[in-house]
Amino acid sequence: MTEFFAAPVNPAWIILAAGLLIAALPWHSARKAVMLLSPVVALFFWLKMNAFGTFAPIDIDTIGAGIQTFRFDGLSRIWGLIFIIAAFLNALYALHDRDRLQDAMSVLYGGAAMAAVFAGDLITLFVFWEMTAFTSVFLIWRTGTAAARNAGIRYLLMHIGSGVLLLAGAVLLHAQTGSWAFEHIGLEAGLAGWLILIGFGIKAAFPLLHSWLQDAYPKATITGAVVLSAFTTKMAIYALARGYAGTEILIYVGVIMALFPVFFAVIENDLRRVLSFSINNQLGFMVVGIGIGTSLGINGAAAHAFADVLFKGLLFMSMGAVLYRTGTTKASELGGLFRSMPITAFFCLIGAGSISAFPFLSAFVTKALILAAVADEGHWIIWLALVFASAGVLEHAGIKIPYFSFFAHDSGRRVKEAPWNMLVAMGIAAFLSIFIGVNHRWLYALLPYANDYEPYTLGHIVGQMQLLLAAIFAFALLMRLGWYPSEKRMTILDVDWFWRKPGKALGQWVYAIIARLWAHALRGLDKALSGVSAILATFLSPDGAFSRSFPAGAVAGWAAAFLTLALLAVYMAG
Amino acid sequence: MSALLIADFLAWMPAWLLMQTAALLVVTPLLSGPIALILSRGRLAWIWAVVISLATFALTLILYAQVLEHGSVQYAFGDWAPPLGITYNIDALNMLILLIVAGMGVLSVFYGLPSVLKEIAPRDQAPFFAAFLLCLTGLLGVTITGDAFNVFVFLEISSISTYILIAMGGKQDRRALTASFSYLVLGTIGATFFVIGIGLLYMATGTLNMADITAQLHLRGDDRVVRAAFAFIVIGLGLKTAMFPLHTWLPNAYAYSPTVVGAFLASTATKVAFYAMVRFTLGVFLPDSPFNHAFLGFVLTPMAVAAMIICSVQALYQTDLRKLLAYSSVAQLGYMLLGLSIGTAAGVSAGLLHLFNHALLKGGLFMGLGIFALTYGVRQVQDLRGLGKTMPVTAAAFTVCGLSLIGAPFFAGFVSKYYLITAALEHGWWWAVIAILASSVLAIFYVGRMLEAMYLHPAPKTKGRSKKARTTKAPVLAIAPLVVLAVANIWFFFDASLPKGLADAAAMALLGGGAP
Amino acid sequence: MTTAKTSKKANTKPAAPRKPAHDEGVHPVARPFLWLVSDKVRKGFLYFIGIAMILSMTADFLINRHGHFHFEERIGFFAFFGFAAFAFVVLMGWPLRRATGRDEDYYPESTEDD
Repeated sequence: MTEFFAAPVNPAWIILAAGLLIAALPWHSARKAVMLLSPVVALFFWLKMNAFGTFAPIDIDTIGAGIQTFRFDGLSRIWGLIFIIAAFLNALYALHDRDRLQDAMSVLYGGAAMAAVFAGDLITLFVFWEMTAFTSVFLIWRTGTAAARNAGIRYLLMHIGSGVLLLAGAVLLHAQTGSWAFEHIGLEAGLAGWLILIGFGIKAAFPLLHSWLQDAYPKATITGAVVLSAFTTKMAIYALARGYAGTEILIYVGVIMALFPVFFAVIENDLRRVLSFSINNQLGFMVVGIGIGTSLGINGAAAHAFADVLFKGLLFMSMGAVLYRTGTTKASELGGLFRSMPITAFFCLIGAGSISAFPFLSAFVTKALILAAVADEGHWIIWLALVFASAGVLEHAGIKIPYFSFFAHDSGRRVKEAPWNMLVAMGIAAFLSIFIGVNHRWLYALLPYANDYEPYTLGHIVGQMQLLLAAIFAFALLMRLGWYPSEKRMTILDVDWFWRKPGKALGQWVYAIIARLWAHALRGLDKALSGVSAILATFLSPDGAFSRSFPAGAVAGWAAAFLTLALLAVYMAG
Repeated sequence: MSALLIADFLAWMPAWLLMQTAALLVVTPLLSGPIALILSRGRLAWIWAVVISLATFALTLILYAQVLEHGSVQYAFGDWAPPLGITYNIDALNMLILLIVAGMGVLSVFYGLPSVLKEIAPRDQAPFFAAFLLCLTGLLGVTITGDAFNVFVFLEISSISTYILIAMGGKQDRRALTASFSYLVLGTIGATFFVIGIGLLYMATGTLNMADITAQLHLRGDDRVVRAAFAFIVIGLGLKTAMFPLHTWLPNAYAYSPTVVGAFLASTATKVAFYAMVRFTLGVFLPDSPFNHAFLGFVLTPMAVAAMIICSVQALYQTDLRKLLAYSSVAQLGYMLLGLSIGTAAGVSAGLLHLFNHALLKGGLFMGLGIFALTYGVRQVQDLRGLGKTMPVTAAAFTVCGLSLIGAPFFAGFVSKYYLITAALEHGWWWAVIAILASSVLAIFYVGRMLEAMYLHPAPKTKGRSKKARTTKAPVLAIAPLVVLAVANIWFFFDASLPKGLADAAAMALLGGGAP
Repeated sequence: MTTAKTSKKANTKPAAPRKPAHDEGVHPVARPFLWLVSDKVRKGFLYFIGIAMILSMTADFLINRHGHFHFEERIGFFAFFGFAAFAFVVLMGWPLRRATGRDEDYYPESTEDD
């Protein structure tokens, strides 16, 4: 028994097993207990890991390589921890939900993301990469609307595509290097490198590949959106950090990612969609850090991903609570909710402050790492762009989310405060966001590389306060002047317009044409085929010539003929 | 299994047992056959057969340990030195086959009781087990012996007992009698060809010992007598292997025999004949002689590919389940023959590996069908409807074997097809790869047809009788071996070291050097 | 609840006149904070935050911010940059909305939403 506890156990297996158990358990409370306890058990095994390494490899000689399902090192350690925390918060947040399928899928989804992070080889990565897609799509579908169903299908298609690209790249890479190991890949690997990068890029919501995020997340269920915000994109960031650290193009990709959602978030009315843009924007910061690729840059990406899971989860939880109580997250229909949901409002403000990088809140100590890494390499334009994006973050996530839901003009909605389990989950996330902001050494010690960066210098605090106060001042001024684009119910187009409108029309047209051609071809083919199949049937069907019970004499003659053939062949040879 | 463990195991065995393992392996079932006949009652004879088949399997494992320890084992009867006396010569090649035959023997006997009790007239039950043990003897003998004429003798022992076994299906379906008769005629022709070939070989070399024949052929070089001997032997064995187009006896024989016989024969009989073919073409005759190349290249290869494609289509057309599987077997034999005809160590190894996997999966499929037939009288594809619900365990095991047949990843069938494709590519035979893939696609369809009926269609309504049918439980005795095979089909995907090790060693020994 | 309601009514004015009585159904925790949305506070906020901003800028005279870039160390750099960036982002919302904004049920499926 002691040996059992001494052996390293992949925490992901705990979560995955819990997911299967939840799917099988017929009792609601038992399911919830498993959901809550499994991250605690997983955390126990995570804490027990006292050495880096690759554990319990499985050798499959068919593919000529070892399957390494558990690689525990500086990079996977921190991601494993934050996914465990996220799994726990999700379970708590969903405690009131009576939805067996969604519970099972969300736990399996978290487990798959964790397993992907601990994967030491590309095959394992691929399997769990795809599994996150197949499990998480249910969190979107369970909303039950046609819009959610269609968005789910679009989501699934893009994510399956991502996995296929990953697999194709992995196979190519294996052909080049003879190894399935998931180590640094980079674009030096040629086509394989590009394929995998795009595969990762879809899940990391690179510009132009991002639309699934803003399309699907706002349509997910209340708890589903919280779960989704934690895993998929952060897993992709991990994969990028592992495989593409220091790939220069990522710097520019990341900057664009950090910038463009800022503009769209201003005019977006659905606050959960605003948060989806915000995910995209935060991922941009991380991608820049990975593109820089120095130990400071990777540390920054890892730390920011850690913090982001908490504060983005917190914001999604607060918007989920609003949706749960009011039935909408449209800014135009909300306002003044702090009167009836003050605790939720308070936690939301903590989340908003965290993401905006107020001093003593989490992003202040994590985003600074990325900015410092950028500045260290002398990329001043990139640096300016990121500071610019930070002002944008304050706009949509720091101000817009809490202001238009909880303050602004009173919508007159008087609802109940969020359920206790949601409040506790938000409270823990808020506490952790503050804890990281204050006790940054704790987080820095978990980072992949040694880190002696000090965020709390007077200069840094003053500079950040200047930025934030000036931006808030600008907000107040613009509101007063009436220059702020008022919240309107509308659909804001994104790149998915291309396939949802002209693409769809083109598709329908092509489909109609093909259907017509196909009908013609089929008619012709039918004639030809019926000829062929008649011939085939003559010989091969149960009554066909080849299948009949031959008289023994005939077969004897047949055997003799065949012997003659063999004799001829043998005699004729050389 | 570590080398140390094997050494310990062998040290623990009594010396006389180790000395005589090879002989006991054949003599035990041979002598117990007649005893089974005396036991006269079906169940009693079954118990006897269980004991004997377990003993045989144990002996095989002991022999395997010896082969692992020493590389190969020689046994000379009566201590007569090899060229004169009969010798048994066990190396990696026949060890692989021995494991399959003895293993499937055990599983088939366990599986067989319900089938025998139901399908065979009471007074024939004891003789059935007698014939079964003799058939086992013959198959083991063909595999183990190092004497060419001895191969013929054991081939006849197995064939004659097989005719009896197939004919015993006559109680269920009279067509078993004609199937048995036509197999008798063809089997006899095959045996005759084979013995003519052996005679010619004896004429040319003056010896019947396989190793000695090879040595003599080296000295003598190649001439018409040798070539004629070669042609007679390979065609004779080709008939027994059900090499396309000499396979016509096989579908009926499998389809109308008692279910247990179908399962046992499908996984052993043609495999043993294929073994003999490999042994003679590459082991006795010189692998690099021109006639060998001509035969492999111009006769065997087209026939292998034709089998893979044509018989797969034919399987697609079948409505009778066992015929479907039988045609699939001929197609799968095409894979093995293709491996042999590639002629490289990698190819032969892949063929042997496929032989091993195919024995596991086809044995499982026939057992699954047998259980369906025993409980619901299932014969046709459409009879499978709803069985996924009513018999979930059997259906699941059947599905595993079916997926393995397709060659889906995570199942053993994938491994051998993968190696076969690699071997073909290494040899530059891309068209063979296309044939393999095409045949696999056809397999998806014919297996898919069965699975679709099983899982996607509701059970047919049988007025009032369905209730009775539902209470019919499949015998555990029959399900257990099937489950063992299903697990093996998964196991040997993840750890194929046992068959792969033997197949590689065998191919290396036959073709000398050349890493597979 | 009802007594609290009447007493609070005096010092808070409804932000939106069409609404039910202002503090009807207000969560007890929120009560002490209702002054935050009073008109005075709302109007004063602009000045309050403006003064705070100027204070943070004057801090630059007292301390020496060390940055990676020389422009970063200019007095009030972050304040100016932050103000400009924020204003730009918000004001760009107008043309962007004109370009990409569509009716809410632009995509046929979204009519079934909510």
